[in-house]
Amino acid sequence: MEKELNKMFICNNESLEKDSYKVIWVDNWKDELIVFKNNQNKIKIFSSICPHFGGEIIYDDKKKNLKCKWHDWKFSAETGKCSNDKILANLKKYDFATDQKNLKNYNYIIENDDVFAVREI
Amino acid sequence: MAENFVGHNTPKKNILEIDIRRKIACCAAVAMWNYWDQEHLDVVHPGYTNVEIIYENKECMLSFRDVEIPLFGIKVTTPIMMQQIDEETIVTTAVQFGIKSKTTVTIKDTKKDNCELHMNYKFYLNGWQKILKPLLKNLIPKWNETVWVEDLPLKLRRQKVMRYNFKDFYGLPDKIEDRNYEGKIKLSLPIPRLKISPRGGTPENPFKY
Repeated sequence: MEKELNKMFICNNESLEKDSYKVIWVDNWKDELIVFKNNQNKIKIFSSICPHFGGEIIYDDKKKNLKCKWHDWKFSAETGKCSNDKILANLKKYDFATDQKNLKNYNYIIENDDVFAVREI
Repeated sequence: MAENFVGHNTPKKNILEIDIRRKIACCAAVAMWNYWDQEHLDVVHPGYTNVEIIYENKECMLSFRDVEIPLFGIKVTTPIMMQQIDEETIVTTAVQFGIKSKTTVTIKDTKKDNCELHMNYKFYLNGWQKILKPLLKNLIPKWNETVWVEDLPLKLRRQKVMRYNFKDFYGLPDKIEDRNYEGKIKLSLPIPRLKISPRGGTPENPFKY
């Protein structure tokens, strides 16, 4: 049986084509999210709070990585893993909701061309 | 920690003193953290082009900052000594173009998650340096305003994440219900840094990753 989902509007899908990324505070989740499309045009969502000191993470569309605006720490756009040497900290991923039908994990849905981040309740 | 002794040979009339007061919606510990976090300087502020931390411990820090002087576009390396005099006071001593300066920053909590900063600048102008008095009088408040505006989002954001129970080098708690902290936010010096920090590590910095 699929679990109930808590969904939060992030942005319009079309706006992700224009801007390389969107950052939005989700106060209900006490977190800030970054949403972007990777080089395979797939939507990716991570917490945009840098685990170092809490700075804002942005997506560098040219280098296809994520980086902190405060101290320039860099993270993989695929896994959220910090790419600075020997640093173990990662950007937080969400507990993926699971589509039991297709046995696929996901953390967003698109409805009427709006992107919603989702968490299982 | 005893305050350093600077400018004792400068006549009082040759000391340029500027006072600036500001209020902000963050606690004093967060505002203080922003001063001690040297590693953000050349990332966040276009006025700084490089920072090297030479030495630091829980009471003081010696660093070299490469600063671009506004209007002139000249880059100068400035040795900066920062000292935590008491819980509320930081004193920064520097030399630029041979001019000695002392900046005293006092940060006091006014109510929960709000504080007031008093920034007192003193420039000790000897000999030819006296001609720079009107220029510095004009320049320093503008410099202060620029840096204040650039730092403002850092302090407000840091305050917000600390109230979400953020832990340095870890991030937010995994569970949403744990993302709440109402206690006193504390500052621990020196600011933890990676040993592999491009700004240089020091044996005095106790943080090991």
